[in-house]
Amino acid sequence: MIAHVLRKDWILLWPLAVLVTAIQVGYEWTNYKLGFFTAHPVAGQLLQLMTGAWLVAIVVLSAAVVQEDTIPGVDQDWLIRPVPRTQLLMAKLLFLLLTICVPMLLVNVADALALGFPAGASIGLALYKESYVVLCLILPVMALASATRNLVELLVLMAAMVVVYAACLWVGGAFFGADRCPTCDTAISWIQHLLQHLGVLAGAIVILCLQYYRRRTQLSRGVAFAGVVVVVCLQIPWNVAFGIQSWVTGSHGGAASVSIDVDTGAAPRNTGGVVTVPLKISGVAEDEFLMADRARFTIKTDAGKILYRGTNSYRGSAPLTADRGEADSGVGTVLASMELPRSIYSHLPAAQVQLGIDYSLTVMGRTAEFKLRAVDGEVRSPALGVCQSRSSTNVVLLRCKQIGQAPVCYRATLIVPEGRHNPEVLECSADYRPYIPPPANMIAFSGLQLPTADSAGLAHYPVDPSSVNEAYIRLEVYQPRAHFQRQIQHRLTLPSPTPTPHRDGKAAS
Amino acid sequence: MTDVIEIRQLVKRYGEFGALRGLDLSIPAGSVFALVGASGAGKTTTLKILLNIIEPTGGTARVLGVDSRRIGPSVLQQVGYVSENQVLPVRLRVQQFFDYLRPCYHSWDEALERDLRSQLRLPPRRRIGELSHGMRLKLALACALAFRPQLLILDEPFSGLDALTRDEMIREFLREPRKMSILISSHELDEVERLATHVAFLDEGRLLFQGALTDLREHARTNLGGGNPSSSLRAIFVAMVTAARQAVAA
Repeated sequence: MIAHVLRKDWILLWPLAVLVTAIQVGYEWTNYKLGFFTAHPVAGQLLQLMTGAWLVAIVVLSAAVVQEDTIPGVDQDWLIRPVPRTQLLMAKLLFLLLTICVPMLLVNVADALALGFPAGASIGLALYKESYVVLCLILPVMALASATRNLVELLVLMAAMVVVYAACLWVGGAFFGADRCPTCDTAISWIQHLLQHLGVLAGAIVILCLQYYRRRTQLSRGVAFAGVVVVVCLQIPWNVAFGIQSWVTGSHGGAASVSIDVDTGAAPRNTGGVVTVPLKISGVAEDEFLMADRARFTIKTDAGKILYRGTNSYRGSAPLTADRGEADSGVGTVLASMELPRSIYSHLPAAQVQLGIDYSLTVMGRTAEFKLRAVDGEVRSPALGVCQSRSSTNVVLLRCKQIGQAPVCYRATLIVPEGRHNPEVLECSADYRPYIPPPANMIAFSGLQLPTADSAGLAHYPVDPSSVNEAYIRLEVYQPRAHFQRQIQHRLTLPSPTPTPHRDGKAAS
Repeated sequence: MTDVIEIRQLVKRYGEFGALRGLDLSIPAGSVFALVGASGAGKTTTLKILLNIIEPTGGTARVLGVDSRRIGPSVLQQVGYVSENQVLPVRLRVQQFFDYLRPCYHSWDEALERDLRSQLRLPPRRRIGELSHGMRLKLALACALAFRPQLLILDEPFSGLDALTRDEMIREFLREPRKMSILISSHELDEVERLATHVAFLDEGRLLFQGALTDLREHARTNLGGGNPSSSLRAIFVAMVTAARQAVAA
């Protein structure tokens, strides 16, 4: 029976299926033509168009095949035919696997093979990626389509869900501010996203069962809206998420030797409300550096009254390095900054206060080191993927493509054979997720720029454009080695604000 | 004679509105049973419940011995259904529709299918969406007969059809003995009278009468003021509904 339903749907929808495949091939072609340095003039423009078209095409085809045998309503012909519901559902799913996933798998594998990646890894990762597309995109769209009669109803339902989503975000933001979502925009946001995807998948399965076995359209729509509210409102607390991240990385005890405390030899500063506290770090190995994933500041009076509580103003992780590039090895003294709202710091007592910092930190460890020519160089490695270099105006560009997990951080230095070198460039994606592929393309694309000249003429580089042809790039890649948390308690006198000359030339009070 | 359909105290409510209010019906095997009522009497609701398309609020309905709530593919293998509102896959061609349905039914008779298609002059290359209303009903009827169902359910099959087509349908397909029971819902009383062996009158979700046509005339003669035994079905129906409504109003 599955084959008959599949054949019928193919007869009705083959033009749309061919169009979806054409978009997928076009998308992959565009990606391939973009190469490492976005050289093709048309490809760059096409990519944006293709990305949107790819998503729309999948949604439309998924909805169309489900709505060929509409679930809501009482007059559809299929309702009086002896077609088992499970087989009907399986036929729809199989149709989408054959018309969306199989062509996409083939073009993804072809792209990966063209870039020189091994066939086994390419096929394995493409299968993994397609499973992700089925579970996180196709099944949810099928579920919503099964609760609607046609594409217009589906669009209205989706629009209503977006409105509910936005309303929940707004209400959550109004009541909880940035604390509404502790992991949003951080390096461990993938845990929240994974939970949301699992929730969406569970909701999709519930809706599909309700529709195909009970035909409860109103209840299904209710589940969809309830799911939106749950996805927005159910947030995983930071410490739980960070604990999960530690477990995933397998880093128990890996940072036991690292200590971090307030450097009492240097004074804190207050520049226009941004209070910087010097910290002393030790126990970090030579091939490691620290990433600050979150810093939670608390200022209390000696009596225990909380005067201020807040999280670092930047979201996401940042290398814990010294100000102004003094010492970026993560060893020595670094500055921790907290931005106090003016309303708070202007009323803080000049007396001593208790400063508490709850740090969530990651030890980034060097996993590999490579050397390639600065101009038209190439390096290949399982840990790195494929990286190519090219000289451009005042910079050397380094671009990498990797199937599977890409490194979190790259550290690169331009060096000439006699030993002169430019300052190191550290680039981190600040995302600790295990390999979760982007939906449209399984190849991760990353890179960095190594400056060789300052167009303003203020900075001079030892390796400049005249010597770049003989230079090479020393490239190190880093991955999380351990995650840990430290609490710092320190009694200090908050410094008075000093003027900031950058803000409209006026001093901040 | 066993019953192919047994309905006991069937209730269907849409909010406050009661579409069916404790309906009892028994449809004997081999009969051509007409469910007659004005628009909104509950005929279509009854048929949809029998096919497990909608769930009853209360009561039970058994089709070929199976509770309507549990009707699945095995019962649908033996039940043909034609409705004026049936939504067919309009972008399929007639030939493709037959090709799709054929493997769905174990008892599909390809020789009968050829006969039906030829008699009904169904154009194989035409898309279903391009067919007229009458041709679509003929197509639905051919698809419902080709697997020799035990029970054929027809929901307003004559609605919107011209007189010639109605005649053809009744003469060629519905009056021929095919070892099947037919349940037909209609308010086209002239056609029903030519076709039915048994009849049930429904009004506002309530049963007014059920029985053989001969019993109906006898009932009308004794209960509706000495009516003529040869009175038309239309006249008896109107008299019965009027009397029932007056009784309710009183």
